[in-house]
This record gives sequence, C-alpha cells and structure tokens, in this order.
Amino acid sequence: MLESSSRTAPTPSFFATFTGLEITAIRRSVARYAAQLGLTGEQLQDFVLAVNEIVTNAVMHGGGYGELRLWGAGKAVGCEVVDMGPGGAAEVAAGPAEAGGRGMRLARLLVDELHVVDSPTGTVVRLVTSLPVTG
Amino acid sequence: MASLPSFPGRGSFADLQLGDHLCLPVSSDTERLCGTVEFTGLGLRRDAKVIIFSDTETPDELAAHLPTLLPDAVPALAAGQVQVVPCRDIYLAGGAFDPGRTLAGFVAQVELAVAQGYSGLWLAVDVAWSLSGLPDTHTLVAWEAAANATIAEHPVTAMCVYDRTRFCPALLERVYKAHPMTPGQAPLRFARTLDPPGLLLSGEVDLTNHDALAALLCPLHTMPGHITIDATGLHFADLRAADLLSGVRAARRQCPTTIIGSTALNRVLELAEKTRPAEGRRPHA
Repeated sequence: MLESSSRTAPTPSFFATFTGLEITAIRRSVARYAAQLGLTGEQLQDFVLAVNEIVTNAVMHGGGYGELRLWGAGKAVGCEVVDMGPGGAAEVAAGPAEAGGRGMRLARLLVDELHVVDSPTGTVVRLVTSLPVTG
Repeated sequence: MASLPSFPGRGSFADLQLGDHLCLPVSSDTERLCGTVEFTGLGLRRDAKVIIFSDTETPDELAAHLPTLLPDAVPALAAGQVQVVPCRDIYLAGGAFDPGRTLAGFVAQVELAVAQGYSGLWLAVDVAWSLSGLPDTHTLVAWEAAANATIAEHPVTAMCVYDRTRFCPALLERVYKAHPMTPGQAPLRFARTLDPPGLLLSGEVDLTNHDALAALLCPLHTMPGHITIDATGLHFADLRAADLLSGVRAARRQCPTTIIGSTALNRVLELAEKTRPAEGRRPHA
C-alpha cells in the first residue's frame, strides 16, 4: 500500500493505492482518518464497512487494484475508490444477485450518498456521510 | 538479526497464542531463521513443546544455529522439548503426500506433547518441502485451509513459513487467504467448543482470510444437534463473512444453530439479509 497526503480537489486527508493484500490496512487507515474527521460509533463502523465493500469490489471485479481518497468537507466525510477494471460497475450496482452488486447495495444502506461513475479505464465510487450534528 | 513482520495495529508476532495458524512470508533464509527462532522462544515461554520441521536446512544445520540465537533452546533440545525434524518425515511419510495421514501424524504429536505435560504443541514448518513434494498448487492451498479445522480442535499453534522468492505471487495470495493470520492482514482466532458445542471466533474477517473462515465453518454444516457459534469477539466481518456464517444455519436445515455476534457482526448479518435476493433469503433458526 502506498500512502501519501497528496493534495488534489477535494483535498484528501488520506490517499493510498491498494491491492487485495492491503484491504485490511486500508480499512484501518480509513477508520483512523474518518474518526479524526469526526465520525464516531455506529456511523463510523457503517462508513468503514461501506468503504471496505467498495474496496473489495475493486479488487474482486475491478482489475485487482485501485486508489482510495478520503477527505473531510464541511460537515461530511467523503471517500472515493477508483478501480482499474473495464467498467460496468453501474450495471453491477443494479444487479440483484451478483456478489459485487450486493456489496454496492450494502454500501448504499450504510452511507448518506453513493455515486458510481463508469469510464473506459475504470470505475469511480464516491461515498459521503454527514457528520453528526452537535450542540 | 533481521526484524520480523508485525501485525499492524493488532499487536506483534509475540502475541501468538495456542490455537493460532499463522502464515509467515519471508524473503530470505535469515528471515526464516529469525522467525523460527522467535517462534521457538515464544513456545518455550508458554511451556509448550516445539517441533521445527526443516527443509531448506538440514535438522543438524538448523539445530546448530539455535544455541547462539536462543540460549534457552540448549536445555530444551537436550530434554526433547524442542525437536528439529525433516519435513519429509511427516509430510512425505510413506513416499507421497497424504493429507489424512499427515494430519493424523500431527494429531499424534499433539497428544504426545500433552501426555508429556506440555501446554500444547507449537509447530514451525518450512513449507519449501511442498515445492518438490506436491503434485500441484491446489493441493497445497486445500491442505492449508483444511488444517484450520484440525487446529481448532487441538492445543496447537502452527506457523507456516513461505519464502516469497521461491513461491509465485499468485499462489502466495491464495495461501495467505487460507490462513486465518498473515502479518498485515485480518487476524482470525478460533477454537472448537464443547459446552456448548460449536465454535468460538474472534478478530476480523475480510477478503484476506475468507477461505480460512469457510474451511473452519465447513465441518459445522453436518455436525449433529444444536451448535453455537460465539462470535462476540469478531469485531469486523464483511458481507462475505456474514454470508458464510448465515450459510451454516442454512446448510444445517432442521438442526438448531445459534450465532452470538458482536454489535458489528449483528449489523452486517442484518444488512446481508436485506441485500440478499428474495429467493435466497434464509429463515432464522
């Protein structure tokens, strides 16, 4: 896993490349940074599980490796997973039975927003969860 | 001495316990030797018997290193608490690899260690023996996965040392997934329980150790009577892990199955059910 604090828009708090061997390390990093950005308790667990499923999809169905960016934006935490597969994630997301489709559907239940963009060079999945309202 | 890989965020090599099945990838003979010495020292501190199955070095060559690197090993070697044995003596006994006979051989060694008054048996294996001793790679992966169920039933800790420079990366990735523990990946601990009958699980399950969990759960599919899977110590489980666990309940049909989950596991079990196609929904026991 390659980690850095590279700065592209939106400004990531965490950036890493991954293969199947880095799934556990990626998840722990996402948990740590998302907690630093303000997610706690069940909301943090849900966010981490959702990201884990999308990263797993990238490894299993998206070419075996990918990139992950995580950032805080105002009152939300966002994460973007880019895989290097042939595309088709939008169809996977809609499919009722396929394993990758279930992972995507599970992730949708765990975060406030999930967007999928296919391109010929891969798929981008963006997940956003609002921070808890305080005060 | 070369430094050993650690379990990032989940303790270190020194956290190994009875019942663990660890895959230790190394990149040199020195790393393998260091890992084997550290494992041996840890086993001795836990009052266990330690058997080192050697392949790259002869038992005499390996035993010659121990007094320098691990002074505690000198009296233990003399007393038989530490033994160095060629891999072929157990894996290729009878001339060819026979998984059933090999497992029976290991179980006999565990029972002997316990009868001798040790807390259990710690096994360090230089898996280089498989490079010339197995007909295909599938046999190796299947063996590693199948060993989990036997380890769950006995007081044994096993460390399988793989030299990255001698095994192809694609095979190693499959081998890692068959182990419940590989440094840097999700660690899964387990033990068969008698009262209540079933399985105790703790740690984490993700893509890196799905195959180990599947192999552990497989014998439960046909176990008679009411079983309990106590997974309260499982603090992370992904969708596939939830499917494997609820699959035990589905496979057992009329035999009751209780799954006691952590908050995290209960959450993913519930969500797994919600995302399952209607025709595949599983009734709760």
